[in-house]
Amino acid sequence: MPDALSHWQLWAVAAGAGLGTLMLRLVPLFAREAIGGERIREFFDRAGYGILGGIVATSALRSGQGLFHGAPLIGSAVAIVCVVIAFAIAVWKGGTIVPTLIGLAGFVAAGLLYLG
Amino acid sequence: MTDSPDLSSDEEASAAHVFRIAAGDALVVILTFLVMFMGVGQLSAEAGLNAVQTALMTSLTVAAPAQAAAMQILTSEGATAGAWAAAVVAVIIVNLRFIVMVASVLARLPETTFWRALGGVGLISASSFAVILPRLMEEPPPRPILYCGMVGGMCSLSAVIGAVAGHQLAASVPVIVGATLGAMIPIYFATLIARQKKLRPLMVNALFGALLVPLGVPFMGASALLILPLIVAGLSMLVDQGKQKNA
Repeated sequence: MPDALSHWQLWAVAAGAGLGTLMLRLVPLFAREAIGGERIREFFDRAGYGILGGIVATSALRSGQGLFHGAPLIGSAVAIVCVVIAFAIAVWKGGTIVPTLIGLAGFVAAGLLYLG
Repeated sequence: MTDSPDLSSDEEASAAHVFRIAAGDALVVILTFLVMFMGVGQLSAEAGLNAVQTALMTSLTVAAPAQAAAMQILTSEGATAGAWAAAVVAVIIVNLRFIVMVASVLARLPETTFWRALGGVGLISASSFAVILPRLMEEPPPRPILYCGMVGGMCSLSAVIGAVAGHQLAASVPVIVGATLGAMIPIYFATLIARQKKLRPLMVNALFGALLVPLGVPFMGASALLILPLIVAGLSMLVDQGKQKNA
């Protein structure tokens, strides 16, 4: 921590970051009328799923690279394959828990093979 | 996700019933947060924040990447007295995506007062959003605002517990355990996306988000997660509109 940071500045970071994020969540509450239409809702549904896809891909890559330190490309590929397997099983058979466990088992098995 | 039996009226559903649905839906995220936020707690201890400050920041922010970015700024070499302001700005920029997430959830909630709506969406994070949106679209729970508040609250609480534990214990999780729990999030979220398989536009947007966001992050930083999905959503709406006109 930089020596110059005083006690109040650390409080400012904690409170400022927290309250700042809370304020971001308030923005749509103030603009509720504007987002009430069917087409706007459809737009936000699509954007929401785009964000979801982005979260899935970036967090999968991060996890894979975290486990396969020496071979980040292999780690990324393993994590993405596990995600795709879980997704395919969920589309084919339905459910969330069983596909998640199968995908996770593949990821752990690959990790243990790599670490071993 | 847990099943929610039909009720004749939303008002007839008890808070305990809604809690059971929310807890079932959020369980994976809660378990993951307990471990994931230990790392955030460790970082915040290194940056000089005490346990109360860590808990306050985590409870309202509930965003590990944003908090990690702020702590990195505070601990970076050459950080000056103004680093605290840069850290706050960094958190707000990384979390701009919450505006779209809350707007998306809010559009599926019934009209209510400002304060009730705030209770419902005030603690939404990326992970709780991933749980809430598919549930609202596929099988809306009774008392959906209470449901959203409970999912957000439980995720926030587990993040706080994890962060404070990491801060106090300086716990180091074995690599395989940490990575496995980290992988649980994308794998589980992918199965949540799959639940909307019949809605092709949503699948297309999810696919493009998954392809474009990782490519955009090196150039655009965390804002890629906000900007690129918005662009894709706008383009896909225009394409569909064009097709309808031609038809």
